Amino acid sequence: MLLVLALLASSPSAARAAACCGGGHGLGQRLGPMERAAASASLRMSDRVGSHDPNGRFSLVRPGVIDGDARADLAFLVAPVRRLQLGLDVPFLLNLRRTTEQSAWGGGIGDVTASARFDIVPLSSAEGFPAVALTAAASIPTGKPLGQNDDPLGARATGLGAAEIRPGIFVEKTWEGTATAIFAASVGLRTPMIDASGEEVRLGPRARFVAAAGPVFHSGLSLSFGVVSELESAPRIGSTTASDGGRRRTAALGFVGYDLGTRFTLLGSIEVDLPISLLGKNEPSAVAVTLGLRRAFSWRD
Amino acid sequence: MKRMTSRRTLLAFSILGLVACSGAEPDAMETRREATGEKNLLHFVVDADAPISQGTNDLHVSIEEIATKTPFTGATVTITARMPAMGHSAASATIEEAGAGEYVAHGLSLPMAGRWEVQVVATRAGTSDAATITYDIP
Repeated sequence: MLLVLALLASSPSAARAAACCGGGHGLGQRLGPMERAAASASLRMSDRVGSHDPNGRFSLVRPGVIDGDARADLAFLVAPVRRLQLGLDVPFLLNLRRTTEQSAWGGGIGDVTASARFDIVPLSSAEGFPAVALTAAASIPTGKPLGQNDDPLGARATGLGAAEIRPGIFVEKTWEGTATAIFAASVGLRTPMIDASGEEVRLGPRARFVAAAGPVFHSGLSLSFGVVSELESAPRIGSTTASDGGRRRTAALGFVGYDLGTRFTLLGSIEVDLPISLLGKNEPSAVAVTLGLRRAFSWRD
Repeated sequence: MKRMTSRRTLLAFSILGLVACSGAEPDAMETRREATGEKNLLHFVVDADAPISQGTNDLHVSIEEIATKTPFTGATVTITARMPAMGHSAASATIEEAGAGEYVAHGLSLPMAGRWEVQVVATRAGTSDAATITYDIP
């Protein structure tokens, strides 16, 4: 169960499903000390409730407007050797957009992400010290970017339109099986892309920080609560960088996990972009709920 | 759909306490905007029948020559939109002249909430000028 918080905090599906717009693409999931592989499926439902403007001011979404997303992730992890883990996440998105005048829906495969994790200080040998790991993720633009959409509400957008490399670090501390805390930091670096008007767009790097902690119970239940913060510098469009184009996002996180026997774990989370002015900038604000199931394979299987 | 709307309304109200302290309800967006061209040759007035919103929008553009204060008729007008924070761009579908320096742009697609910069470029013979209008869609 100590894995649950780390799994959910680092899962791509826990990351914001801003398919078109560069929300963190995840740090890669994690295997436990006795696990050699895992497979998981999750479903994330989100709806936009407002947005922060370039001055950081928050506004509620207009009445009658729906910006809803559903995202299903299939994820696989394997440890070819003890300290190294490799992963793959394949997302599928379904978008619903509605205004008082129009409506549209669409979806498809999103940006596929490959991940890697190397344990510098493995959790099994930490003994009072926090476990430390280096992480890396690479997202391939297999989804459809917003610029290739022909619908005015962008409902068929499922990808960023650029590849992304995301190196990071993951720190985890446990207390004798009664509580756990994690801190993760990463930065996404994107490749240039060409927009619908033919100009080159270079998205700025996007940093992501996650901190969470919570209790672990002998019943197999674990809970944790935390916060995620993302910062992104303004993009460069042609030869111009917008002065107010930087982005900022702050969200509260809640996780729950429950062991269904020795192989399966039921996972759930809620992520709420905080509707407080100055905690966001140039970002949509949404509420997202995720439910997932994980199947683990141990070294003895 | 009514049930979905009720749930969303309940969710919105459940966080309204925080918003009331530090946020703002979306005001009706002012539809009329005026701007002087970058070269100080033309004056642009841009208006819409409804607040600019996600999806397609129709704009009414009035253009006047600053020096002569006469309508800028017979021009080639293009309208493009860009979201500077995310690099998204959008182009207006069709533009037609309605006479006396008035032009109508049909189907300007703004697919996301956020700040959009709408650039209007007008060209006739040897005169060309452009202006950028900013819209914030909540």
